[in-house]
Amino acid sequence: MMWLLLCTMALITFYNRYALMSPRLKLTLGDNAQLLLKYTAPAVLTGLWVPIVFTEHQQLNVDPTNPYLVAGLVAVVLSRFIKSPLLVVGLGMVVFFAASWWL
Amino acid sequence: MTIKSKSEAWSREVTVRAIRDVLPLAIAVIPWGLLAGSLAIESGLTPLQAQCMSLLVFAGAAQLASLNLIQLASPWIAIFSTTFVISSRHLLYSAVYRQEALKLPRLKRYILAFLLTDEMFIVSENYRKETGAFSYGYAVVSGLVFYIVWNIASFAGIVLGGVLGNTDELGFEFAVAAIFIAMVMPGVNNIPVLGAVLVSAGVAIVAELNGLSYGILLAGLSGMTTGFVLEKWRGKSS
Repeated sequence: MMWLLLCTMALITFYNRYALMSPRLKLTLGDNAQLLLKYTAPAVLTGLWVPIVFTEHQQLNVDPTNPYLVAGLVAVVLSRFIKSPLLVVGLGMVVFFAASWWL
Repeated sequence: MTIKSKSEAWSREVTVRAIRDVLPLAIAVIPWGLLAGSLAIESGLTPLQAQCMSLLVFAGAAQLASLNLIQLASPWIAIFSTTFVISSRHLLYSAVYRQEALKLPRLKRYILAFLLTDEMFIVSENYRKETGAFSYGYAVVSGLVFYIVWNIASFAGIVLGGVLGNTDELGFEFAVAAIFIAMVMPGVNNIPVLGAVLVSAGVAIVAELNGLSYGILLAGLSGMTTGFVLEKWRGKSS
C-alpha cells in the first residue's frame, strides 16, 4: 500500500513539473503570456523566502530582535552591493547566528 | 545554428558553471534531506521506500508535509491534495520552459521536467538572463547535481536517523531564505520587478498568517500580474 502511495505522489509532483511542457496541451503562449511569465522567478521565490523572514508560527514577527528578520534584511541590503550570492548567504548566516545569540 | 547551440549545451564550461552555481543551493538543503530521510523511517516506511520517496517524488517540502500526514494516519486524499498544492508552483516554472521544452524530443522533455526544482529553476533563469539564451545542458546538469545531493542527504538521514535534534536553532531555514534573497534581489532593478516582488511578499505574508496552503502559488501569480501590468502601463506612458 505504501508503494501505491509513493508512486501516486511521484505522479503528482511529476505532473506539476511536466503539465505545461506537454505538446498535447494545445496552448500557444503569446507575447502577453511571455511577459507575465518573465516575472515568475522573482515573484514565486519571493513568496518562498518572505514568510521565513517575517513570520513565525503563522504570526507576523517584525520584532527587531527576530534574528530571521534582522539577518534577512541585512541579506537584502548586501545583495544590492555584493555580486557573489555565496558571499551574501555566508554573511547573512553570520548575522543570523550573531543575532540569535546576542539579541 | 542548431549544431552550434547543441555543442554549446554540453560543453565542459557550461557543465562546470552549472555545478558551481547550484552546489551552494544543494548544500543548503542537505539538512532537509537528512530530515526527510529520518522522518520517513519514523513514519514507518522501510529504508527502501524512504529512499524511493526522495528518488521518485523528489520534492522537499511536499515530502516533509506528507510524512507528517502519514504519521497522523491521514486519509490518502489529504496526502495527495497536500502534495499537489505544495508542488503546484512548479506548474509556473513548467510554463516558463514550455517554449524551450516543445523544441526537445520527448525523453529530454521528461528529464527537464523531472529535474525541475526551485533551485534548478532559479540558477537556470539567472544563467539565461546572463547569456540571453536557455541552455538545456546547464538546466539538466544543475538539476542532476541537486538531485544527487538531495538523495545522498536522504540516504544519510535514513541510515543515521534523527541525529539533528532541534533543527530550529541551527539556522537551516534561514539558509534557504538567504539563498533565495541572494538569487532574486540583485535582479530587482526596475519598477515592474520591484512591484512584482513587493506584491508577492505582501500576499505571501497575508496567506501565511491565514494558513492558506496555496499561498505561494497565490503570491507568485499576484506578483507576476503586478509586474505584467506595470510593464504594460510603463510601455504605454513612454
